[in-house]
Amino acid sequence: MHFNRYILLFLFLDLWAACSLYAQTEADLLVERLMEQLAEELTEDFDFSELAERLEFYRQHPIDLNRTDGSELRELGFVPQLFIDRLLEHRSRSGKFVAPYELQTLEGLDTGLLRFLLPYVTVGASPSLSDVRAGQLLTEGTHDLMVRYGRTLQRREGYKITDPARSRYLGSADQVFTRYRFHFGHDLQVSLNAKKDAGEAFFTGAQRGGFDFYSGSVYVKNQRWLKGLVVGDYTLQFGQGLALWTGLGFGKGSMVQSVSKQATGLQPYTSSNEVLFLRGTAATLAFGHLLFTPFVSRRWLDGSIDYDEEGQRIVGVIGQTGLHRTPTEVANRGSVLQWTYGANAQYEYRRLRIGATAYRMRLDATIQPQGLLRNQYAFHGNNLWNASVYYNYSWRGIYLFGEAAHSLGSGTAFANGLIASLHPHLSLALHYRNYGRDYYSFFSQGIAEGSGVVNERGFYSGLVYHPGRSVEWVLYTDFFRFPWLRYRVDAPSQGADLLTQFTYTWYKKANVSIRYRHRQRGENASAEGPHHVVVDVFRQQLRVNGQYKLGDVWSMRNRVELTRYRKEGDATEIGWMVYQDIIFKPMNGNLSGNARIALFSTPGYNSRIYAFENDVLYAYSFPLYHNDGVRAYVNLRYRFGRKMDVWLRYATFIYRGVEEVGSGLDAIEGNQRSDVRVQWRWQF
Amino acid sequence: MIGRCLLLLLISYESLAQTYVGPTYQAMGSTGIALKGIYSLTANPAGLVGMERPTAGVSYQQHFMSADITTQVALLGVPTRLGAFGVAVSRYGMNKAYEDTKAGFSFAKQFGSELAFGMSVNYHQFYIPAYLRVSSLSVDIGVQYRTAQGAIFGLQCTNVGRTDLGSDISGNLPVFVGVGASYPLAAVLVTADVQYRWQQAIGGHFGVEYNLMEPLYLRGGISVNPMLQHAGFGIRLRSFSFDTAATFHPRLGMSPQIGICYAF
Repeated sequence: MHFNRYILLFLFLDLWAACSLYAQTEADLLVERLMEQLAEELTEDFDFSELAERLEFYRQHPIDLNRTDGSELRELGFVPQLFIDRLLEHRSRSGKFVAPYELQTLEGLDTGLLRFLLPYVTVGASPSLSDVRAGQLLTEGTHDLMVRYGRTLQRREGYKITDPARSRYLGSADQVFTRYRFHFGHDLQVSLNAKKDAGEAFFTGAQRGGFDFYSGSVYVKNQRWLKGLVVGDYTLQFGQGLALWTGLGFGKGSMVQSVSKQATGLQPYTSSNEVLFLRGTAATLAFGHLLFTPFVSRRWLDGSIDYDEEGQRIVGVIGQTGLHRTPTEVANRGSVLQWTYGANAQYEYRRLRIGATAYRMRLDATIQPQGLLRNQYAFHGNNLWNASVYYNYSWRGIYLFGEAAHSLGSGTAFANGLIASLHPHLSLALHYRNYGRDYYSFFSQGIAEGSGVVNERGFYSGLVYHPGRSVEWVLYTDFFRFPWLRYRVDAPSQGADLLTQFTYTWYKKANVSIRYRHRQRGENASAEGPHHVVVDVFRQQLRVNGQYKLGDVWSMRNRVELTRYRKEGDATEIGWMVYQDIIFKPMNGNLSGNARIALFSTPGYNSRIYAFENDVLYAYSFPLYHNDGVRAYVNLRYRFGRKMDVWLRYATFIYRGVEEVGSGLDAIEGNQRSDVRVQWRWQF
Repeated sequence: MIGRCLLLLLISYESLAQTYVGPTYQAMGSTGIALKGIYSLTANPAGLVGMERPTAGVSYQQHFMSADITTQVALLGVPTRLGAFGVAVSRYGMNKAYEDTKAGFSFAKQFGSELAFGMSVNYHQFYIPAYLRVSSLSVDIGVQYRTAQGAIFGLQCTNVGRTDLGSDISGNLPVFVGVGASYPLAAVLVTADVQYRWQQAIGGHFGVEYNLMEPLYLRGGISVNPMLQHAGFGIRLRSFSFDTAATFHPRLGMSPQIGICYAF
């Protein structure tokens, strides 16, 4: 047995050497792919750095295959649970791994996954915190300090207004972001983020304390029975996200396996989004196979406060943007106090995981949505108990998962699914969801077509065909129904979403993918009438994407994308976009960079096109391209030795035939919008 | 009144009514151009050569919207040295209100180990009590090509003469050309069809069959244009096979089917 393993090791050694050279590029590719998948469901200026930072951390501190209990692999976000279960089973059956390449012997590992996974795993021991003295912490830990500055070069309307009676931006157009991390090995992390958005005041006005948003945490993990402890800002993810899921989560997309949400439990919150996290303290305690996570959080949220006849504080909606630029935004800042507390218990035994969560959320103001018919089942009140049970289990190539959640005194939500490898080359994913129209949770993020885990029923089915290392073909369909009215849909409605993508990869040289997506859903007709009629809206997307290496230093990437938007009663819109990227990345050398030139033309906003853009490290751009114009950007990175890095970015949109870019306070005179960004990082 | 409305629906919703396929094919996304077996009597007649023993079967399908609208089918297939012969009789409609009967005779012949040709001659009769009774004949042809790896490529043309039911009735006999492919992967069979309906749109069908363990087969599929989901399962016990299928339409609901076959 061992003899065979050493032969294997020998065989893979040369591959290993070749591969580690490419590890960085593979990791870049992976991050981009994950980001694109994430961004399909999220808004334009969302901060994805949480995942990118985690991946970067595990690239620098690879996961020890002989020590992990699987949770770190789950954190990577792209490793299927079915594979993690197989890995753990293999280790308990055959003993410790001799080399990461031994993963190749595991069933169900395709070469694509192995390529992505290798940079993040290792075999070998790393010390535990309990053996460390305080002095060592300071001398042997790594510090990482990063400062980012950005600004739009053109002046927006909101900065020109001086009349205090009008809405305007109170601060400067500068964006400043500071980020500090301290790591000691795997097990201790201190994070601090501070952010000022464009238009927010800095050390004046409402932001007298400097930045508008501060976030920090201390995270300790793997200390005997203390599996994790966070003091400060944290995220919690359990089950399928129906009851409790903060931070990032994948939805539907070209990675079919992501319909099964991989909960990471307790994690420190390190992103700069000003929503979707908890603040306080939480710990995960391990008692044998049982994990117990109590938590408490106290946060100030944004909302416009009013008083009812009895003098009670009421609020219409809770703000989700985290922007505090105008007098109204500043007045609403931190006006609602939110207390959240509860606990999760999870039992893990081999390939089975079952758990239960219960928590209470309390506000010091009563939520009272507008009296519209679509809000008939919306949440009213200042107090909510949520409870849920969930499971996942893998058995002979089939992974089953699900969750049932209930908001006390109102509705329920269910999600169940399976991922099965029908054949070494073919996997199937099925997912059924049924979210009640009166189910509420303030921290949910389930698989959904609509805006949250509410008022939706749907069935998702997906297939992945992977006949070899070069070809991958993905197909999914999702049929859904909204039993109650929604925003801009004045009747119960339904729709469908179909995506198919074919990818061909020339190993380490190039890949080309073709994607077609067809989406259909109901929406109010545009025509004004005594009442709104719901009509079908069809969106089609055709995308051809290619990237290829021109030797060790240069690589190229291009894309052609077409969209077609059709709504009954409106003119059909057809939009297109083409871009060409060039990426310069020498193996050795201090300077690297990339640039894009893109042309686009869409008749209107409905046929807009989103595209991933490279940016400075940990910043991600997903701007939308609409109207006629040109987009260009350049990013440069210069390394000053091993410890210091500087990034520069310049990006611009030039539109044709417009006299104003943007609208409202964001409007810019002229036909151009340009942004610059400078970022500096010091690791010591 | 309800009866009249349903009648209207039956006549106008031709695409659902007249593209009946057997339960195994229905569950696999309403495919069948590149599949083989007794149910090829309801799809590409060339697939009849895949039948190994004389087989008889009956199926029953309920249609969308109402349990009163049904299809009943009886099938018989006999492989001989000359080729495979088959007879299929189906009745679609609603009791005492509307009947669409089809009786077909099929013949399929294998040429070498790779190529198979098939042809069906069908007699159609539409009957609405106290209103009209019309009849017509149509011819379908089909070809299948089988590779050494087990993949099948198929071509099917229905109603090649483009006959119709005369001027008394607005419904017609479907005319379409379709191509399909299927590929076996151990316990999995994957198939896809593309059909062009005469003077209408192009539709796509996609299906998967998975032999979870003997004797259980799980099937699923989708159709595009219109978007439909399909699912079903089958059990094969000795000479019997029992299959179920259901098609889900986002607005109209579900259309289930069951079928039983016996191979002598």
